[in-house]
Amino acid sequence: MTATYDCIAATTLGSDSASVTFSSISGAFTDLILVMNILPLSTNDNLGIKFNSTNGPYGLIQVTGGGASPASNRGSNLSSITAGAIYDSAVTTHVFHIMNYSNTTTNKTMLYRYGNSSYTIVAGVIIWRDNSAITSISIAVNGGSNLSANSTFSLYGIKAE
Amino acid sequence: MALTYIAIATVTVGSGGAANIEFTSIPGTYTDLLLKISARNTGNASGQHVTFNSNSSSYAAKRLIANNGSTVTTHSGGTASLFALAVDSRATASAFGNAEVYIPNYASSNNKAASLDSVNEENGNTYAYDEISGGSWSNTAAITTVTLTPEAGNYAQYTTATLYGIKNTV
Repeated sequence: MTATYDCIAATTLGSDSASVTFSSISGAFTDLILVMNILPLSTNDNLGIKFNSTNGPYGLIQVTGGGASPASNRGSNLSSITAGAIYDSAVTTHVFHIMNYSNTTTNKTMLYRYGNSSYTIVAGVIIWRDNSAITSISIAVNGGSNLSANSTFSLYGIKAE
Repeated sequence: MALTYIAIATVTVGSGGAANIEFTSIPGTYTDLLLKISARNTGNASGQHVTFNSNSSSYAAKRLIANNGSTVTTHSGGTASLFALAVDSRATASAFGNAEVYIPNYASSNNKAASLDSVNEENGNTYAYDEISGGSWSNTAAITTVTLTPEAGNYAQYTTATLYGIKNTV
């Protein structure tokens, strides 16, 4: 059987940490799947995600539920992607599907969704306005909080073959 | 290259229908579980319940639902189960709903989270829905059983559910 869904790297935080980086990502796959299961910590905060350590420009549009009413918001020319969150009382699951990440001829797009049972559910799409192959992904906390110990981060490669 | 995305079990409902679909004795050897469901029920309610280890308490969810292309609403889920869409008997014949349930770290000793994405489209105007949901089960036990139960009636013939295990072994 050909393996078409392969784990490239995985990290379980041994202690509270400000960031996680996947680097030297091989260009051997077609798409990437990033799965983050983030345990609660004392403060609510957003996750900022960057590719190849660049400050964008990134754009996104998303739909959000969980509050009093659904909402949609859009951002453009962002220096990092705020498309994830940590919360004080809920485990938050994030799944990103990054398409055609290794070509050098198009901007990169990805679908994402994250949510938890206490605060919010979000689905959206991101564009990185850059034709470079994605070789690193860094996930950091925007506001100075940490990612909680035992949170897990897994990066999978999908081959269309 | 290691196999990281493996079908653990598949259920296809036969001609007599089924009151539920159950995956039991799930080994703890994977990192995450992914359940893919194509479902129709024989009742008059457009959903299905997802429970773990035959337990019917300590669930919670936030749900975002698009209804018939006209309204979008957000709700909190119930405490007795998690919820995903399934086409029901009022919808166009032979239409089935699609659902995915992603359960990270299902064998850990932490409380469990789940992402649920589901859709009912039946080429009509009345029973089309699109839902995304973030759920939790506040229980530290490893998940060894997953049970699907129609919101009403039984699962109709040709309903299928496949449980995959995903390993983050490099």
